[in-house]
This record gives sequence, structure tokens and C-alpha cells, in this order.
Amino acid sequence: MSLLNVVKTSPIACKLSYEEDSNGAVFLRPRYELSEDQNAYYVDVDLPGVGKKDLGVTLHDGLLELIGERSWTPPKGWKAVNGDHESYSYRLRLMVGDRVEEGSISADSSNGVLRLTLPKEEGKKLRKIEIR
Amino acid sequence: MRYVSPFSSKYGITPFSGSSFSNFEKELGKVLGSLPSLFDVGGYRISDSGSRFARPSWYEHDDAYVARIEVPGVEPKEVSIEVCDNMVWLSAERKSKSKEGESSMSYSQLFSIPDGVDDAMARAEFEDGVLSITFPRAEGLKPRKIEVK
Repeated sequence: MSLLNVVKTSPIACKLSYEEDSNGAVFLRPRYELSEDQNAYYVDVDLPGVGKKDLGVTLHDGLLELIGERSWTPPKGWKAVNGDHESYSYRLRLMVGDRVEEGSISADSSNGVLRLTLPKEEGKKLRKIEIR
Repeated sequence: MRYVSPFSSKYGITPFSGSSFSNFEKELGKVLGSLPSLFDVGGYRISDSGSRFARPSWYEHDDAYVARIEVPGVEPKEVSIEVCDNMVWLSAERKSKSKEGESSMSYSQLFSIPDGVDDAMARAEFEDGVLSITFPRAEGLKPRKIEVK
């Protein structure tokens, strides 16, 4: 999904889904929400069970990639009753357009939600045009 | 609570009718709490009223049953867990800041807990958006090994 296509000002929410890449590895694409204000774009990504140390965010060539490892295994002696194993990787890929100032992208994680802040480039912010 | 089910209100039955949980409602709670993907497609179900289901995953061991529920974005103090008559009502508010100010959305789930637990001793832990509730088994009902002589 390209951030350049964000023209709605209300948040856009995307559901959880499975993705398989060319090497056959399966990732879970997490639920996320896009929103923006005049200074920046914000991406709120739901990553339950993933702590700060299990997260990796990289930006390369306009592609923002986020990988979160969720690896909770039940302690010895526990039996799963309605079998939902919690050991997989979340991966989210977003195309970052040239409106974003790449050097100042920041990420904040708390309570299983990662917030990415993508500041808009100064020169590309909304400018008021005076009417004389 | 929204779901697709044969038990619609025109039959005069809703999960909250009457002042106590009857056997019927226990069954309904079991269905909602443990059936995979009947009511949501691959993850959270997003409804217009801004509330979301949070299905528990159950584990058991000799001393207790444990339910793990995903509630990302919630502060531990915003989680409310009420236990009544073998049913658990979980609700948690998720606040988010945006340009327009604070908005909030809530997770809400009613589920039943297995028989034979001492619900006065239940405890909950929260880490990275996952809530883990432990229901210790009542003393006399723990599995006992019987020796064969």
C-alpha cells in the first residue's frame, strides 16, 4: 500500500492477513491503521506479543519494512486446549513516497502497538496562499 | 455484542436476559469463547460500533487453566475483568491520539471458564498487549495419580 495514495483524512484500517514471499516463507501481515495530520503520516501497527527487542524496522530505497518476532511458547506441562500457537513473524511493507522526510522517521512501541511517525518534508507541507 | 447466530432476539433470548446466567447462556459463552473463525475472518472483527472481539486461547496444566487474549494498545490499568458464575466478562479500552484529539475503541469479550476452578484465586498478567488470565484449579479437583499395586 503506498502512502502516496493516502488522500482520505480519516484513518485507514487494514486487517490481518497471510503473505507468502518468493522464498516460501510465510508471514503474518499485522493489522495497521494509517492516519495523517499536516506534519506527518502515522502508522499504528498491532503487534501483540512482540516486545521492543523482537522488532526490526528498516528503510531501504523507499520501502519501509517492519518485522516483529512473536515467540511465546507455553511452559513445560501446559497443553493447548484450543490450539493457537503464538510463534510466528509479523511483517509489514509500505512504500514511502517522496513526501516523507526519510531521515526523521521515528518508531515508538508500547503495549504491543508500534507507532511509526513519518514526518512530511518541510517544503512539501501545506502552505497557505495569501489572497491579496 | 454482534454476531451471527441462530439465537436472535425475536425468540426472546439474548445473552443478558434475566439477572443470572442460565445454562443456555453458558453454552453460548462457550461457543463464542472457543470456536475459531466462525465469527471473524483471520483475526480481529471490526464492527462499526468501535468495539472488537478478543478471543481467548486456552491452555491447561495440572494446577490451572490459562486464557491468553490479545488486546494490543491497551494500558494494563484500563483492563477490566469480571468473573461471575463461571463466565468472564473482559473489557478494555484502547485510547489513541490523533489530530482531532483522543479517540477510543474498546475490546469486549464474554467467555465461559471451565468447571472446577476456584475463581476467587484467579490472577492476570499483561505483557506487550497480551493478557494472560490464570484460573487455578480447585484443590480437591486437581488431577491425582492413582497407583496400581
